[in-house]
Amino acid sequence: MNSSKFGKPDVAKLYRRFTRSRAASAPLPEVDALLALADGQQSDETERLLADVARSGMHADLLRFTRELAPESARLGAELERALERPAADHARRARHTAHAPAPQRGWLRVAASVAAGLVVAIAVWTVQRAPAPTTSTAVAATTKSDRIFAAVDDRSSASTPGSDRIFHADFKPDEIFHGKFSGG
Amino acid sequence: MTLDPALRTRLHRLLADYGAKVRSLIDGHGLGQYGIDPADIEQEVRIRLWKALERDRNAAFHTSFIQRVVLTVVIDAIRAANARPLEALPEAVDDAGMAFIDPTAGPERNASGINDFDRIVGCMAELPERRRKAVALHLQGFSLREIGQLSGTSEEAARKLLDRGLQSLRESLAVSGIVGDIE
Repeated sequence: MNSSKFGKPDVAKLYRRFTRSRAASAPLPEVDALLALADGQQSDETERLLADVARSGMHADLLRFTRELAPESARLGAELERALERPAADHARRARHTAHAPAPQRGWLRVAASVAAGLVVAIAVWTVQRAPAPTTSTAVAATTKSDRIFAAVDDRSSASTPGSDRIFHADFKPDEIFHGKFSGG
Repeated sequence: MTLDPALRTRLHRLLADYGAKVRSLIDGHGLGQYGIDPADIEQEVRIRLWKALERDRNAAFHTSFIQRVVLTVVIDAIRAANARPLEALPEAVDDAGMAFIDPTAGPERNASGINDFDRIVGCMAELPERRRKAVALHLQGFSLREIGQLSGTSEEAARKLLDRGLQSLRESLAVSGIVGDIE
């Protein structure tokens, strides 16, 4: 019923109901104009839209809806920003921490590698010390046999000694032709 | 955009909560009477915002962007509803017409409701523009403060415009034979 009191129509209720029913014929508002009007901006566009709001229940409903949507949208925007910034900040903090301090696994590897290297050196030294030391003559013989270049030089020097070189120290016999023992002939 | 599962779940939950609020606002403002399904709007808003997040996460932070997404979905849905076959239109008209029909009243009384509206509109047309606008916004349910903000005036100026406009309207309606209840 349209009357708040008997016999008296509720003008506001009447007006809203009828302007809503005729909303289908009104042009739909532009989103930007609706946002501007809801934000309290003044322009020719918002003036025109305000006139539509005054005579169209649908436009009035959309405008009220837009105004109440604003704080909810701002809240969502802030929550999304928080949700997306926190992981990024955590990642950056982790990256900084990694850059300044060595990771535990890498430290273990370094320690293990140092121990292994030290062990190898110790075994090598111990092995060398445990091996029997060679005698001097053996060493000389080994050196003589192994180095034939210098041995050849030694041989040459020893060839100059008498008796050792049969070419230069041969016992030549006198020439029998020129020193023949002729017998009367 | 690659998101770890926990963050993905959290973002989905935020959008789901927001979608539920949008649906609640649509129901609260009676936008469903313009042929739109609040559940469809909620779903579409969530999908579009998620796509926007995947495309550019910074864009989704702005309040105006989020509002624009919702309003675009709502207005497109109303436009689509208006473009549907005409059976929806007579139903809406009948529904609106029922608002003026008192089942206990006779046909003459019901027909007078529509006539009353036409006379109210006629009386409002005689008001100066600024007063007419203030009265119309008041009848549409806006508060004095809202009328001032929307008209670019102070609340006090809006109150004066409204008081004078309502006074003139009462007098005009009385002359027209309508003794309406205007608060």
